[in-house]
Amino acid sequence: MSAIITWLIDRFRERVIPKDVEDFNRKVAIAEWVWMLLYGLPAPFTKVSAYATQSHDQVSTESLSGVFVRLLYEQFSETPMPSFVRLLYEQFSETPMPSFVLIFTESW
Amino acid sequence: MNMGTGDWDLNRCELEWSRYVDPPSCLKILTNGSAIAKASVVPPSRVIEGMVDFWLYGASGVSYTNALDALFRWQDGNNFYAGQLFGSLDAFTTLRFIRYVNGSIQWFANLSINWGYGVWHRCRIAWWNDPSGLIMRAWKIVNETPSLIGTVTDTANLWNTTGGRVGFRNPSPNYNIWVDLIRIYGV
Repeated sequence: MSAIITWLIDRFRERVIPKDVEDFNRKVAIAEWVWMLLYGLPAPFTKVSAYATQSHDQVSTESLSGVFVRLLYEQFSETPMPSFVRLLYEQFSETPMPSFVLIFTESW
Repeated sequence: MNMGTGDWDLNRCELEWSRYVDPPSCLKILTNGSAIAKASVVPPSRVIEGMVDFWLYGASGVSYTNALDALFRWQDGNNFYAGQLFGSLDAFTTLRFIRYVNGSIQWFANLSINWGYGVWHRCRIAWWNDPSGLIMRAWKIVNETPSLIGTVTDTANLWNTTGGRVGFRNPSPNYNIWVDLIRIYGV
């Protein structure tokens, strides 16, 4: 997980745009809240959120929230999650597929 | 070992004892056959968004013009989505998503693959609702590592609140196909 966070931070360092930090943090806050409801534990991605608030000197042509979602989809899309929150679960959690649940196996 | 073949609606299927990924057998889907998970075991409402992971085997020397439809959001034989595999004389060459509505087919982009016959291949197909429509994505998995084949989007996104059944169909009138180790995921 730490490797993923480091990788994301490096990408944010390249591409963060200040005006979207607030929107990004709002989404992270929502994800953290849902995470708490499900797991009863603090969400593990506060570090990324904290970094984003300190990145005002970075410039990019893309919005931070757009970059964030796109990065997760394109770079971490090996296990698809159908929403922003589910993507966060999948990529930041060490619990496999907390929302894509195996419901049936058949080995014949 | 789950031998729950009663958990499927099977049509023209046999257990194949001489070929499998996981012993003692695999499922041989005969020409025009199908295997669709029972709605009571895999409720459609649980796979409105879902993923199916399976192993596939094509016989050497067969030119699979139509090999296998991995079915999802299946309502009936005329209304469903599928990831459709077909190939040439030597290998599965194409995976494309299709949609049937009242028997009329809609093809989406062809995704190139090159999976030789005579060996097992593991494939994963997922579908989920997105503001842009139904996203359908396919991977090949080797040594537990998925590699993306491609993604298509259907803006119509049919049955997006009700879901549908999951299963497999052999659309070929001429050739059999084999599957094993099927895993069905839901959101």
